[in-house]
Amino acid sequence: MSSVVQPCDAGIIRTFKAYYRKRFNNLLLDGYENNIDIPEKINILDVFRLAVPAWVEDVSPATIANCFRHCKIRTSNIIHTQQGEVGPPIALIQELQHQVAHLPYGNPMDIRNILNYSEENNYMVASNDEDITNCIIEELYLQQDEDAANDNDDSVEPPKISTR
Amino acid sequence: MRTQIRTCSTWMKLASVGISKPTAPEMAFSQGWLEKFKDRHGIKSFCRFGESGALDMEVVGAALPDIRAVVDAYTKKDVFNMDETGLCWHLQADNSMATHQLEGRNINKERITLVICANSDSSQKISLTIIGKHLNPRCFKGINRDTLGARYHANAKAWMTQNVFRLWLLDFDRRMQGRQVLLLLDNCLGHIPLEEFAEMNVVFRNTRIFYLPPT
Repeated sequence: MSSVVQPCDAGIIRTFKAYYRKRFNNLLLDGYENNIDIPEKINILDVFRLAVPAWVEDVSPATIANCFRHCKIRTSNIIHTQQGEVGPPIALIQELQHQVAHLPYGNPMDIRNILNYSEENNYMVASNDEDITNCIIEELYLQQDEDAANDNDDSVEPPKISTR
Repeated sequence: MRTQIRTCSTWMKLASVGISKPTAPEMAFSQGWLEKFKDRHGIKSFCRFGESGALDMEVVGAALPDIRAVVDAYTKKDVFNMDETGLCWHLQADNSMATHQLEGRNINKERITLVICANSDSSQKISLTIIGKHLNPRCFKGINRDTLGARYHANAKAWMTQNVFRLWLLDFDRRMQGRQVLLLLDNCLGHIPLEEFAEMNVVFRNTRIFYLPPT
């Protein structure tokens, strides 16, 4: 249900991801061109530098408005006639295919598999108590490790564990 | 019995990171404590199934009039939709890399969560929220996080938790100062039932939250 009446699900997220991939591919292509060792080795800061402009600059207002209209969640949009899927513009898909063709891949994937990658869609799995407990513990461990690794960084509050 | 053993081993692990066992002995190994612990940390069991595939279009059709009745009462610029999505940030379009390893990690599967939100006349894109696994990634050292253009949160699974969700909503509501807006939300995930906000004394002055009907 939600994915049909939700504009984000209807295409905004897929369009954003397509632009993210385009920027990521450009980074790879530049990396190979400049003989950078393992250009795909990016960190979370690089992700910000790819994802923020992909959202702020690349995803067009027309795409967003179109996705909202497509869901027909407003009475005045009921007669909206566009059929089929809304999502990344065709020119963008073609550009992604073009990029992939220029990357040194042994067995290139259809770009649509990347844009509908199941690991990303099924991102919430039912957890049992044990999973949840381990998640909390892992979080505490992570925090400790990072606190130790960032001696001068006092920006993180210690975990607040109440035993009440 | 099983629960007792599990909770007991939890205490041993917690003790090893410096958290002491509660002094009240009747609390020590109870399932109730674990439930409350999860509540305090805003963690719940939830699940979400894939994209639209097997939807009953009749159910969708039946629910639309109710949704429209709510949406129609707001101008286009005041109708927002927020949703989160996973992003495998290293993913490359190469099948031969399906098991590609980088420093022992399967990087194709390294996943973060992103929160995306915009309004229906597309005049406003809310800046991204990114949920990662590390509270203080090394690459953030010396970086002013206010300049990143997106908010950052972290937890062990890089999940949207109820805590992150609540913070996001409060921030959103502040941005909507002086307006009355509608926020359409998926009813799944770490999202909090409306009545629970009241219990937590969380009040949204400018935002009406509307959960889309469940699948």
